[in-house]
Amino acid sequence: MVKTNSLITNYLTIYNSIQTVGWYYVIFLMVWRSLNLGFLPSLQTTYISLGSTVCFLQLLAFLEILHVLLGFTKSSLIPTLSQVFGRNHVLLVALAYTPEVQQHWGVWLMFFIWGVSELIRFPYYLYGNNSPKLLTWLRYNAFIVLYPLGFGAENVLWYKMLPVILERRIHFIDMPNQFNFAYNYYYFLLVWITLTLLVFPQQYMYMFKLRAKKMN
Amino acid sequence: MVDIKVVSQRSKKEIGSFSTSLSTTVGELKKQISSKTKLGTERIRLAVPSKTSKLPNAFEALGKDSDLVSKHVGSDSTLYFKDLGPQISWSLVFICEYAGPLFVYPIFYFLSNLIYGTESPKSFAQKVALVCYSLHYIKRIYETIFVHRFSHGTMPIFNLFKNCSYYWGCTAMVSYFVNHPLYTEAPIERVYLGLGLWIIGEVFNYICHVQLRNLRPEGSTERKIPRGLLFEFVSCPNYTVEILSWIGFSILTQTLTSWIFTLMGAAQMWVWAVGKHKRYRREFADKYPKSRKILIPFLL
Repeated sequence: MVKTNSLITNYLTIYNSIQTVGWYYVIFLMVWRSLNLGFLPSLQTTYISLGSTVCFLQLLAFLEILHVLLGFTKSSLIPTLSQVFGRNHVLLVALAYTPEVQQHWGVWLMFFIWGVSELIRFPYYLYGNNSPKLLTWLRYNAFIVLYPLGFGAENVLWYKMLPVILERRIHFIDMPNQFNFAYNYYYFLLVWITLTLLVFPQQYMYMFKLRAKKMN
Repeated sequence: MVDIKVVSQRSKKEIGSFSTSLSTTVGELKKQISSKTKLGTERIRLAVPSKTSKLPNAFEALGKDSDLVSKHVGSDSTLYFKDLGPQISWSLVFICEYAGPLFVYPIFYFLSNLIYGTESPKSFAQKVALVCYSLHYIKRIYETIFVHRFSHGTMPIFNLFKNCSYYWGCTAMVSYFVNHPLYTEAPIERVYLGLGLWIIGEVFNYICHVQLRNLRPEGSTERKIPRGLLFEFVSCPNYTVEILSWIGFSILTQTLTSWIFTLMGAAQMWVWAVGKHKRYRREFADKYPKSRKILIPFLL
């Protein structure tokens, strides 16, 4: 049930506005940088110039889990959890520790796809029920292109990060230690990535089903 | 004579109408339904709408075979039927889930070369752990065959896969780290402390199981109030001391995965204990000792 309370509505408006402005800044700067530096050179410095902003916006997105739990929004819990944790995992747990990969074009593509999809989602929330036709149409159709592209960009980055993670034993816990415990982040990732690859077609189909429901 | 209507709990479709005498037991009625539906009696569940639960659509299963059907059926003479699916005996499930650990645990101890790629001399704690872990499951199998008297004969067959993967998987998770070549042994006092707790836990666990067995005459599914020793303090002391024994094992092995296994087991046993405590209180009402706690003496 969604609670209608002016305080909550105002709070959500502020939250959605911050995200909208933030992602607008990200996309604007990406375009601006490619015009000034040339497209290809701008790709390599995407993380250096925009990483902290994107990290901030994604960390802020943890609030969305709270919004669902407190009943502020009517989004489903599982998709919200998987998006927020999924993106923060790539960004803060993996990419932040692998500077070798931060210059890869995959970072640019991932940030760009995230930016575009959030610049559809958050303005759509802000408009409430009076969303312009084009925005509504994008809300229910843009995923057809954006979702596979974003997923692809993430996986290109995993492919680049995996050998680095193995070589530098990033986030590994090695024995001997007082807890007699060992943890291998590389193996965890192999299992995790395989699972996401297996689930992807199902997720994609599910979104088409939702779309059909909304579009009638 | 009464005509009893049996309706599917899920679809509300009528299974059939059964003409029975007032003295027919639930068990006898199940036999009649069994011959009509061609389902074994053990997978048939009969229930009546719950009188105590506030939730809509809550049902209470008629468990005791000795009860008269006429005692349960309301004015509408309707019983609700549910097919529990293929069944398997409790003893068989118990033996499978306990035999697994007996095979899985020693693999890591004895086949070090195959698993870790190196051979290393085993420390005192690792030897003690192997003995403790194996003895625990030998004891469980012995109890399943010679001590326990089960009130329900069977459970759904899916439980076999669920329980086995839990016990076998957890055993691998614990044994992998306890028998690791880079294992760090706890200070010797702690190994002895853990071993002591483990022995106390196992001995009292066995005593509790024997007490429970003696409560129930052979061949019956009768329920009485357990009395004596630890039962004076809590409703499920068998769980209390089993948790104690796993805490002992975790202290003596100093292994994180063993603590995780202990915690998961304790959580599950807490849920079971709460259910059993409530059942005792409902069944024996005022006769049940008021001061008796659920799992932790004097506290919970």
